[in-house]
Amino acid sequence: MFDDLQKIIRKSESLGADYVDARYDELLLRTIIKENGRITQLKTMNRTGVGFNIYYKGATAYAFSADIGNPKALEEAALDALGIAKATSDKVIVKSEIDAQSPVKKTLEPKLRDPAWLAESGVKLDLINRMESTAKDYGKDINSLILMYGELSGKKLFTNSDGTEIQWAPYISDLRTTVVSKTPEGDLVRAGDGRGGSYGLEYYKREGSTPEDLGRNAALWAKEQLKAKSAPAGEFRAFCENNLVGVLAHESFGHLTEADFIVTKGSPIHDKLGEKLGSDIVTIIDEGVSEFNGKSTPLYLPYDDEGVPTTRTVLMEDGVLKNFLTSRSTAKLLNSDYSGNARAINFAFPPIPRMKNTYFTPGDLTEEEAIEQLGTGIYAIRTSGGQVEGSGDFLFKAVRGYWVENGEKKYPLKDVSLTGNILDLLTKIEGATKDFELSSGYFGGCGKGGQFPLPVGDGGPKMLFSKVRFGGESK
Amino acid sequence: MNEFDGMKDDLLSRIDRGLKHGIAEGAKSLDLYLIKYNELSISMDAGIITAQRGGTIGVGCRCVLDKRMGFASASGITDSAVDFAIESAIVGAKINQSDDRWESFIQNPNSGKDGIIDTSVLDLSSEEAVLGADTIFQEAKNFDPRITSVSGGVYVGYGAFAVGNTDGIAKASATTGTFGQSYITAVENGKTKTGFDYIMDRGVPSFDGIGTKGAEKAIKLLNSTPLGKSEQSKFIFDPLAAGQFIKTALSNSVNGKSVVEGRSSFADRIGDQVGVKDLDIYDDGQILEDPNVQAIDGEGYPRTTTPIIEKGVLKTFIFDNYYAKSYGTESTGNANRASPQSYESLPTVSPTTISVTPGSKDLDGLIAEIGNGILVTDFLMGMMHSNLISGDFSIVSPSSFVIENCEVKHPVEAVTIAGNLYSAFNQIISFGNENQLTFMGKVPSIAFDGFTVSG
Repeated sequence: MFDDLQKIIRKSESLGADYVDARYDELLLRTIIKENGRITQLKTMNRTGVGFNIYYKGATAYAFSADIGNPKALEEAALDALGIAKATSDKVIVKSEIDAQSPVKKTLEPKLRDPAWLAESGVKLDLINRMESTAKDYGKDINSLILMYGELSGKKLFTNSDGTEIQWAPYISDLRTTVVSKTPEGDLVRAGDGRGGSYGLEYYKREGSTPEDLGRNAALWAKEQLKAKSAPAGEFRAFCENNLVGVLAHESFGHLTEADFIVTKGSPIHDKLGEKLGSDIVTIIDEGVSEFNGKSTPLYLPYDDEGVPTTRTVLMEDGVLKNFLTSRSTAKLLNSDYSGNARAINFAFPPIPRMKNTYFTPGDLTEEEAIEQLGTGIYAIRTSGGQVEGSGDFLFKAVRGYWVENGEKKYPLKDVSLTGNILDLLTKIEGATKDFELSSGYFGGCGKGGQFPLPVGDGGPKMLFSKVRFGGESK
Repeated sequence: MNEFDGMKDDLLSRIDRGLKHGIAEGAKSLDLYLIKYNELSISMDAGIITAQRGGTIGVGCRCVLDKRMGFASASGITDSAVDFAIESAIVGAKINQSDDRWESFIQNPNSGKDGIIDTSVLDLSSEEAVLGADTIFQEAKNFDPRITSVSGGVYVGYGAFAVGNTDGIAKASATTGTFGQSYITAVENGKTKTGFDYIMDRGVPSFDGIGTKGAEKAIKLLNSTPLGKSEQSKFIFDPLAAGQFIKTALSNSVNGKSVVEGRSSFADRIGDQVGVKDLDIYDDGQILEDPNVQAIDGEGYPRTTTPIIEKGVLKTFIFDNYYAKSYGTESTGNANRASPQSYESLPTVSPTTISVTPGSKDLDGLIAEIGNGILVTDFLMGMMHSNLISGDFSIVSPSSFVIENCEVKHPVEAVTIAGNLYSAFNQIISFGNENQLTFMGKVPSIAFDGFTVSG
């Protein structure tokens, strides 16, 4: 395949292209979803194709073909992209260009125990069924029970005008459940639990991520929601759990550091490198493959989709903005190092600056100390997601929580929205716990540029905020 | 034969070959979905041009053996891609459990209408598309010195999809469309605001004015001040905000799947008064100028217009074939294959285009009617994170204005609005008279009473 792609790259160059890269994806995805006792999805998806990214006089264009057995179709895609780049180059004001690099030749084999893609389907159905029966055992007045298993495997090839040839194997598995219970008044409440990341099936034997653990947690939390109260509206001191903190790191802060928003000045922090934006204890990292505090990043990502090795990128250190997340062309515009953040969901899309595993680093509090320091306020847990504006305004939904008074958990809270502006919120961080959780998965992910869902990792400690605005209920 | 008939015929002949292959492989009951959709997108972000020949091309196959279903998909529509999907779907069916609700794939031989097929999209060159994006970009960039960042984009697409099954169904639908948009950032005294505007068309529209309108919106918001209170208020949602609101309120409550699976609070309320007496809501899958219109849904059932609420009374849920049969009724043509890679999606129940019958008042009339309150415009943040089961919502509006003594005064900093999606149908005061199609459906401005606003 590398030879075929190199021929097309050379041909495009002979017709004027300044730089060409070609990506071949051969990915296999499997999903099993069971709802209320019925398997509603038993799904296999094959994503195989080639995409070409072409640079011509400062313009870039992308095209793909899924007709991989047909070298002529692949060449047509590359030449189509070149034609579009030529047609648009007159209007370029700021040039996108790639500096040549020494070629790299590397093949990485997947290293994990018990790869999910080699296991029989029965093994995965068993995970789902065990989660289901535990949820039923522990739940109360269950109205609806959803169980999901997903996995991704395959290989990715990258080659370019530099002569680089990289091959590696992405893999992800994921197990999660949602329990919906019905209150005596007929209201429906929900809770869920799940674990996933670049793990083999042995991961679901570890304490905390077994199907029994996940089913029991979701069922008990849904049961707790049966008597939960609505959170009050207004500004309160807040304590946010690891999963919610991770989504804050990704959605509300991380996106603002993506270099495409920096070079276009669309990010409110595009001119704030080196400035102190957060409180002293805020350190935020984005990285592809590493061990930190004894935990490996849950998403295995050795290279980005421009063939750049992923780095440990310090976005914020002790509250000071340190780096942005770059692709090769944005790094050149910003005169900065490559961070390995050009990512695409599959061959049908061009890579754009996107996150890897993004997290806040841990602090020194125990959970008990943090709740005591919270005093009176809201303990917000997990999230069903959120939304962020280019201005930094955000809205996140915590799926459950507790009202805390004088350092004591008083009663459970229903789902509640957190709103504000991230630049303000970063100055309100008072403390972080020692415990540190990172998560990733097959279900959900990042949706930038319509490329949804791209697997990412995120997380951090639990964090204490001096003030957060909560949406609350209608009066 | 025009180019679009050729695309449909090509897909249908691939389906015909695929079904024969599937039967030869031992499958008795199969359906195939093939799509080939070509898209050119050009965006200009602060002078950087990014262009992409994108689109969707692939195949999805459902196979049912003794009421056990498997699904598989593959990118591309070559014979080997189609055969992979069929053979993997057969393997999936063999390991699945039996589903006693399963009856059959669709057998309805009819089709709705294709939307307007405007072949001008085929002739639009890359040069012309970049000129369109540049028009949007230049207009906005030159509008005001406080504008710091401008994005202009043009997206042109055309293509077809086809569905066929072993019950003798073979149908196809074609589509054309163009979308243009601006996204603008303005900064003053450390305050950042954004604005946008867009146009959509089944042909190639003029891109004039999109940059200017987006820029105007961003600049206007720079004058915003904090609301500084939390209270119950009256609201006017403009057509975009109202469309998004109504669409979210319906997405679970009248969805036939949620009804059957016990997750809809409207499940046993057909025939009940669920909203004010002048509330009419339709799932309108046949607005021919709508870029989203198709002749058939994702499993081949004819697209149609379905009354959901008429005179405030809940009339019908929306269904695909599977959940319609489970509920004991007929499909309403609402089987959707989710984007971006629709061939990877099993049909799921979802609305097409929501339309709401307009009222008689223009915006000034609505403002005069409520006297004091909040005018909510453009997109709402967090709408999709509403609790769709209970209906509780808590959203943020980044672009709202204070209405005082029957006049629109100043913009406010982002406000939080909370209430209940389902009670909201009874909190409607009045409907505006707008009747145009927006990105969020054909929904007029709507005045509500009694949500909580804080900011």
